[in-house]
Amino acid sequence: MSRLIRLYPRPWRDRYEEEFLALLEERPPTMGDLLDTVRGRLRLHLNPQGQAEPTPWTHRIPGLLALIAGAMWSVAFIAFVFWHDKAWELAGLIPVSMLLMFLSLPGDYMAAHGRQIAIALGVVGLCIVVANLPYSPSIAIAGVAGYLIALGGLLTLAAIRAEIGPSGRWTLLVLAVLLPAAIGFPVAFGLGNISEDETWLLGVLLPYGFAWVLVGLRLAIRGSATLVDPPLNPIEPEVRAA
Amino acid sequence: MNQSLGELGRFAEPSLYILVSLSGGPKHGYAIMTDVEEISGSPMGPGTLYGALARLERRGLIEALEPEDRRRPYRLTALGATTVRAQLDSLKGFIRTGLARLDGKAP
Repeated sequence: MSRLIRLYPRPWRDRYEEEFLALLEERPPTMGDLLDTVRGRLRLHLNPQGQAEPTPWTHRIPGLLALIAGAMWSVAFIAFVFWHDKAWELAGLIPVSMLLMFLSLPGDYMAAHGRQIAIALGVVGLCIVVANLPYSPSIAIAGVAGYLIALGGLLTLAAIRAEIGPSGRWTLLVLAVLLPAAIGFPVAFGLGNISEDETWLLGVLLPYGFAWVLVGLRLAIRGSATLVDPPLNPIEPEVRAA
Repeated sequence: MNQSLGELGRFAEPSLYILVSLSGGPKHGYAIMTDVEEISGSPMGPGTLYGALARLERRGLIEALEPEDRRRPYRLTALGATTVRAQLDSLKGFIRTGLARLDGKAP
């Protein structure tokens, strides 16, 4: 049941979560209660006047950046595969989308996770160096593994910021990074040479773009404070003496 | 001065039940739920209850008191009392008219 309450916006939870959970502890929740909790969240979304405090628009910027980054990443790889004549021009979207991914983890969050972000950046840099070395299967595999660690790390940081729980983060990581890589890259490197048919890129790298779109959507809907705005405090109504 | 509960949309009916429940004195969430079930004969889910409580509180019809352990009691404000009285008066007229028509005493 407490998982369902995570569906509610943070300001609402800051104000009502404790007493809501206390109420549920007074009697075992029924299936009807579960449905009613989900329905209550839906109504709150459709008619947000009951929210304790509307999320400032600036708190949606990280989510919008992540959303745009995911969309650009997806478009770049789709274009790379299907529009060969414009492939290199559109490939420019990839570094831009990665930049937006970094920017979607701004300010206070960057400071708190600086070490992980520095490692991810280092791995990306190393991969660029490795990519320019003469081709060999071991270097290629090491490069791909490092690249995926960096991609997985970035996505995980964004998912933490979007308050996706550990099981959700693992699901995202497996579906968007590990599984596509486990299936796609062996196909690509199966004969020791990269296939000339680039459609494998879609299977391997497109889910990553979609994952960022999902995380971005969640982050944009829920909102997340940046250094621009002070942290959102729970709104305590004026309590008068009884 | 009172507010129209109709502005609360889907929460108008649960809100009226909650206001009637709090007319008997301050109550926390679980006490409101059981009281409403007793008044209306049908249970009110926790999502509906807290959706309505949030709206009523925001409109100043109810107010939260100091928490007791993790439970927070709510009580009716003066505006809430006026509003629920106006709503019940309106319903009283509606019921009187309906019954009179059924009995053939009114057109």
